[in-house]
Amino acid sequence: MNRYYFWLAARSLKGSPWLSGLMVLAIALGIGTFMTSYAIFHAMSGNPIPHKSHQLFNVRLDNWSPEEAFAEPNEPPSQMTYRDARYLAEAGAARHQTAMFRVGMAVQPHNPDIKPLRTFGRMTYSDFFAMFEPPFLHGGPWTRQDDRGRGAVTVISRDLNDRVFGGDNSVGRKLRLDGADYTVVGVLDTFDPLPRYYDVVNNGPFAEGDDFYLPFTLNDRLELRPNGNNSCWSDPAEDSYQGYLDSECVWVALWVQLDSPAQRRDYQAFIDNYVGEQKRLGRFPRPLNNRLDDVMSWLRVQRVVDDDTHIQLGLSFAFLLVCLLNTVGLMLAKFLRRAGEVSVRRALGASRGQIFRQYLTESALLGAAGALLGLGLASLGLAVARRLSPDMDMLTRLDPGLALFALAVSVTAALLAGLYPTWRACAIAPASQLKTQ
Amino acid sequence: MEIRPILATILRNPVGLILIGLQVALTLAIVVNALYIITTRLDNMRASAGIDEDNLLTISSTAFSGDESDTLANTRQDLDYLRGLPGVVDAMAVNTLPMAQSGWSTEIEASEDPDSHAVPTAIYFADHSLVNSLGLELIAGRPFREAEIKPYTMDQTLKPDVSIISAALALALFPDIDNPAQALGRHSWNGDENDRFATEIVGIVDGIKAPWKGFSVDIFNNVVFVPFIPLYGKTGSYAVRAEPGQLDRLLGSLQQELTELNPQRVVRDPRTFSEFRERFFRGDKSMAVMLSVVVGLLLLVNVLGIVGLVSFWVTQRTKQIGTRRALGATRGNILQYFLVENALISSAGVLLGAVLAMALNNWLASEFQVQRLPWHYLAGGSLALLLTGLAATCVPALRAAAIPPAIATRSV
Amino acid sequence: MLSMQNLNKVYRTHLVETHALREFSIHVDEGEFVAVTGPSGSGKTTFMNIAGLLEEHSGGLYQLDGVEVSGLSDRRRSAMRNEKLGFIFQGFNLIPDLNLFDNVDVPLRYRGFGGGERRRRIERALEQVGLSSRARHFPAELSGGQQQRVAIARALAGEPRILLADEPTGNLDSTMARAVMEILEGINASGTTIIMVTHDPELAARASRNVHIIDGQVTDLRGTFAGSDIGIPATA
Repeated sequence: MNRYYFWLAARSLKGSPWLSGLMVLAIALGIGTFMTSYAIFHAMSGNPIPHKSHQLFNVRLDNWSPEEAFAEPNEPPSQMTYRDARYLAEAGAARHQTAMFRVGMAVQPHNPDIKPLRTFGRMTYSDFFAMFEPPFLHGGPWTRQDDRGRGAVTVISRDLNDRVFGGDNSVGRKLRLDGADYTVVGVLDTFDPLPRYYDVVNNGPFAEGDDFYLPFTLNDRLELRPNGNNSCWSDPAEDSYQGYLDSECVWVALWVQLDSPAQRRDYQAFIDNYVGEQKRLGRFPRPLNNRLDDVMSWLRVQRVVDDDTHIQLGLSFAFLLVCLLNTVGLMLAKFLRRAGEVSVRRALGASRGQIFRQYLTESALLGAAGALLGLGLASLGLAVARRLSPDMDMLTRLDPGLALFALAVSVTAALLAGLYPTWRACAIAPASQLKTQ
Repeated sequence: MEIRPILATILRNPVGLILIGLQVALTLAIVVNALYIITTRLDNMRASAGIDEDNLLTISSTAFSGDESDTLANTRQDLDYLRGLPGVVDAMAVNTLPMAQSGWSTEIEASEDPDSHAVPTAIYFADHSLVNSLGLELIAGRPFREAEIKPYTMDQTLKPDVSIISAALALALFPDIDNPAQALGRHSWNGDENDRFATEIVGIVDGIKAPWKGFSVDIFNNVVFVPFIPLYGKTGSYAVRAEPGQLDRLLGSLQQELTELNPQRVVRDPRTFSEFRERFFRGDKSMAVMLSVVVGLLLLVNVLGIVGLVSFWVTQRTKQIGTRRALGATRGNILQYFLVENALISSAGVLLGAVLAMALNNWLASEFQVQRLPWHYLAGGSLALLLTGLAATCVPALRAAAIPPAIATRSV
Repeated sequence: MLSMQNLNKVYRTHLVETHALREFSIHVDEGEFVAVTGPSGSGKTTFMNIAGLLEEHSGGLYQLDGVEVSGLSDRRRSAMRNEKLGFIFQGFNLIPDLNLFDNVDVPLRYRGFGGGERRRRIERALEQVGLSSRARHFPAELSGGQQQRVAIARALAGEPRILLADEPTGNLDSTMARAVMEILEGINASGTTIIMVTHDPELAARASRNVHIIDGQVTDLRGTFAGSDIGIPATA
């Protein structure tokens, strides 16, 4: 019987191509516009590391000025001082933890045919690789011994490996950075979590990743300035690099891995206790305000999905509603135009339920057709979005999951739009139209 | 033509018309708010950076090794070279540029009391060439003198003796003056409570913009220039102002030339100011384009919906229309009937839409940084929707008017 | 086969109340060919609609093929229409979008027959009305008489117990009307009960029994036996 309804629906749509076309177009425009902004929203608001987003925590301590919060409402600074981050990273109170900041360095390839490059990398601890799980193409992370011993080792990106070593397995070879040699211990495969949750503050949530990673402790020798955000509420006490390290300027991020609520409670107690001790030394003038945010909570706090994306999503959804209202009107016209047919079918033994199913099938078919055309329009819309913001390339993709979602939304919407017209069609009494024809 | 019978017909069979009314209402609410956002964004995009935008580029270099004294030597050598190049107006070491989206900012006060009214401002490093190098409009005072320029390393606390500030900053800092030039010779204060220092204002420039707009507080127009050469580790960055028509040539050659001047470093690709500007307004542009598409499609869907539904009614009422014609109605009467019907329904929709538009605007204003809707957007949008509705009705209504009276006497 | 006792049907609008049928009683036996006559507005169509389960009556009893239909659900009524009743209308009421084959197919689909069974029945029904060769044509391509024959085929395909015909020849010229009438007589001869509303005294005379309706009541029975509203098979 369902096949009969489909057959009837297809005939009916073909039978009035203009009206059907108008309805499919209305649904398609609605779905196309909505899916364009939804795809971007979906990519922006996605979970970049679903299997452990509840175990990875960004740590914030409130060392800010007694007079005003870092940001309202009473938000602690989005990064940490060097001294606090370094202490906590090396205290080992969590299963894994790492401090990190972004730096810029010049790469001098040993091969004179390759031009020197300006690259950007991350000073971090070996735990970075265990926590954020970047995939390795060759080799692996450095060890905690390297962290402690300030080992001259590096992990490099696939891209840098391609550019400097021509894509060879460079593990064991030397990379010359800012005039010093580092031994490559690992080469990463493509590592593009979306959003780039571990550094949304400095590098932006949708920017390119790092070219290289160096042990954080090497900074004792390198004395690097961060290539990223630095905020101070008071000037360093002395005009020297050490003065900067000891200052209340925040420029280092701290992430920890805590596998259970108990561990999380313990770690919160640990940092609160640490800040309590520091308060006794005259630091941390504000009331205790330390935060542990897991990945999704951190992305919300940092407003990774920006206002414009929310507005676009909201307005395109409202547009979809208008398209549906439009479709309700057109369906009403189309269904009631066939009042005579409904009447005859009823006389010939169709129950109200059967008429209901026949017309809902037609609505669903309209929805499916609208979804197909709408997906075409959405990919067009995303192509436009890509042209407008080339750096948002990663955000403007339609995958099979989104296509299915669009189909579901479209068919549901069409069924909803078809509900009232269908109900009206069912209410046609079997005898009412038989005489007038 | 009397409205009462039309109203009675509407009320007897209201669903289709309610649909049109709702559609008009939602359309108005969305269109008006979207149009307002679009205009705001387009206004944003027209902002001038206050410098010679068309002829500026930046280029930076990072040495493989050496300390800050080496960086200073390299910077001096590079600037001498750049200033001597044909086609270059002037060049200067910079930390950042307007609209570059990264840079330095601080808060300064007009008096020694650190708790007095603080004004946030962006900081630009500059030397004696700044007016020429950036193409600034100096409206009062003087440029920096060569003797005032000192090197600055990141370990130092920034304590300039003199500064040149933007006119907007002058007015914000000294509420008692009405002409920015009156700030000349006054002092701005900065530094921690136990380490206050004053900086004399020696020049005022107009129209210069900060690298960013500011999030909670607006600093876009607040700029202070300080007389330092920035030494950021091994890196030096320069702004180069080309003579008109020379920018493209310089873009092609500078990287190679600076590398040849000193090969022990990486010279990055030069970037024009236009690139910064494009990147800065990218979000505004995307928003404007996306919302324009939504507005366009919305009007299209609205028109198609009205044409479709009214066509249906015309078909449905063919016999009735024929009968009316047979009883003496003119074509004009029939056309008028449909137009009045649509006007009634659209007006109701527009009224509801105005309320919805205000509600939507309230929500946008409370959740996001959207301003209150000016009333003329609402008025203009309403009028436009009414006219579109009538125009859309005309298409099927003209067909209705063309129905011959003889239809009435046909049996089928 | 069909028995109505003291049926009432009232149409109400907010202004007027019309009694289309009042205390209406009739009995039709299996195999009868009953012609229903009466002036416009007398209640003929209401009677047919109620008999055909197209409308519900307001009071009284109505048994169809031994089943009391008062208060049945829409689903049961639809199923009874589908299985026991066949309709022929003055305006043919074919579905214009469907070809003849698919038109005859409509009631069979709702009956839930398999494809083979439906095909067999459709072909047989079209053959019965002499339109097998036109199965793929659309209604608009046929003459009125042909369209009415398709409607008859559609009614026959479901093998109904009763055929309800409302002015089946009203839109046809006399030659076509005669052809349709002959088909109906053939159907009746093979045992199907027929109730036919008609204005045409000539056609009415060919029925086995005549029922006259005035003001919503059976007022007259012309046939072999008069004076009773309980019908007895007539000898034509």
